[in-house]
Amino acid sequence: MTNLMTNKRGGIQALLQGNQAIARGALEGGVSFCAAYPGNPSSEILETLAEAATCLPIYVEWSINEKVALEAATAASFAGLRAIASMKQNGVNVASDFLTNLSLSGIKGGLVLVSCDDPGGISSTNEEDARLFATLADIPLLEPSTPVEALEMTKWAFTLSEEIQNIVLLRSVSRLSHTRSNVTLGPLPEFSASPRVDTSIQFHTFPVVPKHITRHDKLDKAKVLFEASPFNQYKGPPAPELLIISSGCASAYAEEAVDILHLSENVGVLKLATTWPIPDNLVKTHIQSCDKILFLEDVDPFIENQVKSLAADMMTELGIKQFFGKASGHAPDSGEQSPEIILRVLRDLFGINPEPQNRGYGDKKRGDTLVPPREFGFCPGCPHRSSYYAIKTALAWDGRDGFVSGDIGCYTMGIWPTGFNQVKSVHAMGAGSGLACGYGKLKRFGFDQPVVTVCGDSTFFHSGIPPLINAKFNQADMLLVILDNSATAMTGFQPHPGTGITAMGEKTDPVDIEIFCRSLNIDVSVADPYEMKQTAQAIYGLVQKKGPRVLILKRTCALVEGKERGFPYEVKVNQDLCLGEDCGCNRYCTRIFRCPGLVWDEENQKAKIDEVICVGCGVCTEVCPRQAIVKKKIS
Amino acid sequence: MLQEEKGQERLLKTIIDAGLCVQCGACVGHCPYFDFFDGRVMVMDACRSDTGRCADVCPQLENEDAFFEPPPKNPMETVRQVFMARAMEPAIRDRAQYGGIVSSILVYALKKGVIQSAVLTSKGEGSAPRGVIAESEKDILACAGSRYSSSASLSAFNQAVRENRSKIAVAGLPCQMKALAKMKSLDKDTIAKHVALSIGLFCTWSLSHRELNQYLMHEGISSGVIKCDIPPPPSNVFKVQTRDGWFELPLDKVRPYIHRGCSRCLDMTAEYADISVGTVEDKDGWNTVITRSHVGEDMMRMAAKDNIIETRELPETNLEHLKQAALNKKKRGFLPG
Repeated sequence: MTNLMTNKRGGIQALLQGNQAIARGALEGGVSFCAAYPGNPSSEILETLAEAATCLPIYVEWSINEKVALEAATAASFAGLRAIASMKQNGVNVASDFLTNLSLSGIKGGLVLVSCDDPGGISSTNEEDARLFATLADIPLLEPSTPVEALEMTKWAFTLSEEIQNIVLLRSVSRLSHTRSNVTLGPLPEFSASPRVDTSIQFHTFPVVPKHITRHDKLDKAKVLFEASPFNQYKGPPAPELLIISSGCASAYAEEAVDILHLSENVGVLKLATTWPIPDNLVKTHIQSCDKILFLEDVDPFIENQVKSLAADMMTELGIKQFFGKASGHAPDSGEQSPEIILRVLRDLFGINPEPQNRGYGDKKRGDTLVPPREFGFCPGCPHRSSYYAIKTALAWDGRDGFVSGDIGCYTMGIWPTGFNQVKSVHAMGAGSGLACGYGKLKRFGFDQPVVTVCGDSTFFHSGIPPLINAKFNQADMLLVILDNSATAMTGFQPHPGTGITAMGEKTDPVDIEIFCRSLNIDVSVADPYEMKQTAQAIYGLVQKKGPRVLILKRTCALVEGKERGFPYEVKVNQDLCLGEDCGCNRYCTRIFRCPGLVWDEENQKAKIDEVICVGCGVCTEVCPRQAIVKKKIS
Repeated sequence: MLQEEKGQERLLKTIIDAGLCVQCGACVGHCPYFDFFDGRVMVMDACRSDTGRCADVCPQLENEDAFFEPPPKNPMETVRQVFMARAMEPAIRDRAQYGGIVSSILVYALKKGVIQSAVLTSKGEGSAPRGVIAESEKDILACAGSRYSSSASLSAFNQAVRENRSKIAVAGLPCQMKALAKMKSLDKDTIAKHVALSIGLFCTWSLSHRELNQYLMHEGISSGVIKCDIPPPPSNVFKVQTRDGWFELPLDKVRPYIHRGCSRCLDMTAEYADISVGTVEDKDGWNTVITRSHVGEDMMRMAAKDNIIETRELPETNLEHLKQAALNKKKRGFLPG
């Protein structure tokens, strides 16, 4: 891939993922500085740029969180370099305080913020439409709908940014970021970065109101450019019966649906790619020729509301229109759009019945019942499983209905049976600890439920530190259990301050979480989560204490350990000791502990180890009440 | 009659969640779903089984299907003999709470090979007292003295059964003797045969270790409890010995930490034991002994003959007071409130 990404001449075709196309577009657009924090579906953008940095004179970093990532990239822009920051929708929330001020101060070198949203929340804690930040911050918004557009529009975004002297928001969604298609590469420019901050300019936001006005002027400039943009395209008859206004992937689904239903003579699709500010004249031209307008987009009625507002302003000219979309209930106002959904919407509007299918089709569709539903689960050997088992044991011993305040990472799965349903809340990065600061002050009202807060090592660096300091400052009764598996695992093992290596592969002095926490002069201890009983006893003891306390459960992620060092044991269930259904334990090992390597042998009606799945960590030997699970050290 | 499900769920609903558990430990050690930790029996997970040994043996859970004969209705139930006794061995008397009978009988039975091990309650020494399997004279004497909080020591009995031990002695509270009797009736061929001797202790109530501990810490008593004592009325104090010495606390302040389940108990004198042992009012250094079975009667007779213990007739007034106290507990337990 490095060859493709760093290919200087271009002119070749490549099968590129949407995120890779964005990365290539940034390179073709002359980017020098790239920063991000991992977050699905955006992570591949920086990963691709980091690989390219081995051959190209650019700088790429994984920042500690999205706010710092945007700030760091902006510094390069202030020094006249072109820069990019990429993140998922929640990352924009984190960066938003800076963003909403930055758009007032303006920038110098072209600066692009890429938000990869996750409609449907397939890999997120929420479903959120980051396009709204464009209206909030008064910045231009670009929405590619294919990998080709992703490349072209990212490249153009830097030019646009410099022309209007403000940051540009480019919005992708999971389907676009992770879809692959043929893309033609362009040439790479000569990289010549000579950063210098012009100290005759001041990048601040005062006076606020005049700068706000200026910001609007910049948007007007963008609108003029948008009116002429080749990325906005119309496909359909000159005076359609129904006009679909759409953007992003939804426009591709719309075109597909129109095709399938043979409605290309009746329906026109206006695909908008420059979606804030809306190119009024372009939209007006199309609305004029049609009285029925359908909006299809992920996630919020963003274009829908803007166009309705436009139509209201122009009502005397345009006349009365009929709008269909999320507000009318025709298009779903939550969840991801899909070809099936859009087919249904169009069928409803046109009164088309679905074509009858033969009986075989029904059987095929029912075939999904043949695939057993699968739970989310921790990997075999995952230290989080052991950590939650220890927490569950300690809270059960305590008996006061204790619970876990959760956070974001693989260990979020503690809300499910794989983590014994211990986690009772999950919101944003660091929120578990923030909530704990509140729980930790409820004692005066008679609150006595023990609260255990969990936080991963990467999450801790991202936003877990301020709440811990808050707990120290406000003397909150907070027990923070840092699940230190030396990895940003859930998003794909990107480096973080504790791993000792940067995005560009340079070795660094790792930040030691234990030393850091001790510097706060609070109760800090370290334990091995694989030793579940000991860890449970430690947690039980800690739960009885007051004030801020930290327990670091240190054990490398099983996937990392498996790759780097391997595991020491061969684990087996002794079929003579295991009594199976006759034990009376009611399948304690498989039903409660649930490691995927430990399975129920339906034939013999006993527990057994699946040698293919089991990694050999040996933790489950603690679980069987008859000690029927045994481990043998392998050389 | 409807065959009601009798497993963990019923036990949880009617006893544990209703706050009626007396921490006898009969339910701990059969399966991974119960545990005893820091002075309390806890349910660790839902086992989802319709039936369970836990519910079968709980002394607080009544059996509709009469597994075993409930004892007769006189205040002290089956009584063969009642008398006063004390250990002859001064070393045993020194460590004892009162007359040292339990320790000396157990040591004697061990030496004579009548028993091979004894399920007793450890001293705790700062942490919660718990069940232990004593296998030597030293082990037995290490457990001498009264505990005032429940230790769920029957969990150690369940462990002894799992270890296939035989000739086991069990010393415990009336609730534990009742649970043991249930266990014996459920397993006539194994458990019943392996229990060689049961010694029950007179008991009015027992305390919750965790809550007592919290109260003691609140009163500034932070180092662990070594010994407790409740002097007889009119004294109204609870005495606690730690490494820092003896402390006296008002008994009324300690009463809130009595297990709620104790208020339902009808058995003061351990009616299901082979030998029941308690204090003698106004006679420090002696025990009241009741033998209830031929095993108990034989054991006491042999011990007296071999000069291990000294016996005397229990004065009439003491006997009357004992009967009255036992009857009062039945009255209190029978009328909920």
